[in-house]
Amino acid sequence: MAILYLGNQRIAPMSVETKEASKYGATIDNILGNVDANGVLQQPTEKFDLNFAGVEDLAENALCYKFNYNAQIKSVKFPDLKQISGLSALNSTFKQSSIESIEFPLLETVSSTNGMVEVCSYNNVLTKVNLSKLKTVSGSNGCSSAFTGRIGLINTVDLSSLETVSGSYGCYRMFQYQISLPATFNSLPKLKTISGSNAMSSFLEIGSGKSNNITSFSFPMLDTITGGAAMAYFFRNRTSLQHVYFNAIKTTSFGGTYKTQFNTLVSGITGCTIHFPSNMEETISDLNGYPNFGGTSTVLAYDLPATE
Amino acid sequence: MYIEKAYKYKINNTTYVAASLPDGAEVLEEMNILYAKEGYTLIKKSDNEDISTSIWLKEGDSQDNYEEKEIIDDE
Repeated sequence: MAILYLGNQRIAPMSVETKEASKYGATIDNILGNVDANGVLQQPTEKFDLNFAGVEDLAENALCYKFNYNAQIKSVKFPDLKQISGLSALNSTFKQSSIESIEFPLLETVSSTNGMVEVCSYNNVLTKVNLSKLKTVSGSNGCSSAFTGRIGLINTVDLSSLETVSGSYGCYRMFQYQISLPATFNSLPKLKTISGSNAMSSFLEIGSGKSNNITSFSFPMLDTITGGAAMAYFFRNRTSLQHVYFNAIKTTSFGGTYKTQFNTLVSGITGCTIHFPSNMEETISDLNGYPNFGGTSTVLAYDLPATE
Repeated sequence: MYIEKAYKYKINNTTYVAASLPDGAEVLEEMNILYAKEGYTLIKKSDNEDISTSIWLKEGDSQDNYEEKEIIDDE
């Protein structure tokens, strides 16, 4: 390779900006930095937004670990993505990166193993997550630890279409440590089935002693919880939580195999009232962890309309 | 292993279960709830109530390590 000199001054071969066309909003200069006058490759500094327009599905490892630790990407959009079927397609893609928002406005299904596992984990500036059409997480570890993070600044989440989590560890620790989730994030309104083992365990768990905002949470449609640890530690340490509502739960909701689904549901929380339909007394009293379900001075109230 | 008291009671025709009784509650049942000893979690009580065969999580362990095993029968 030729090394250019201007007089006695060495000119780095990459120091002139490339004029490459962008792909998904990124140019080669966004991804690879320039070499300075001393021959030292620098990190690119310009912030940019990624937009994967036209992408409807992702193949195996399509973006696996692709932007780990990236400090230049500001926001990410997948405006046309409908499903993630490729193994590890978004595995840790933006882990520990500096993205501030990520949007999947049309994504309906995460069916692959590790499809979105840790996609934005341990990100310290992420505030917005849009998964407004996500209906089904059937892949093992599909969304596991997707947005877990030590600082937890996410304050806008849309998961209003989620219906089924059937993959083992499907949504395990999905929003763990997210202490900034607002009080308005108080329901999974369409969630009907949690059937994978550990499917939603530690979903909203936070660290002991951390401040938090959610005071109530409802599951108006949830009627199937069959994974052995499906909701273990779901709300752990969310000390602000005062009420949990299971409006649709039935005597057959827990299946016949396990009684451990609620065992540690409200661990670390004092005085939380869990509301059940009035016909559920006998079924609930047969579950492991009854009547505190991991909490202290838990109150069980059979004050919702009967479901059978 | 230890026993903790809980109460099943009624107020305004709604049934509650809690560790303490609020004023005006009509007590339906006093319950002795069995718990694992401090530092342990009872995750499964044997069907025959024989406590010695119950499954306990070990100290320092967590339920994260408890999971179903998928058994796939090819036949």
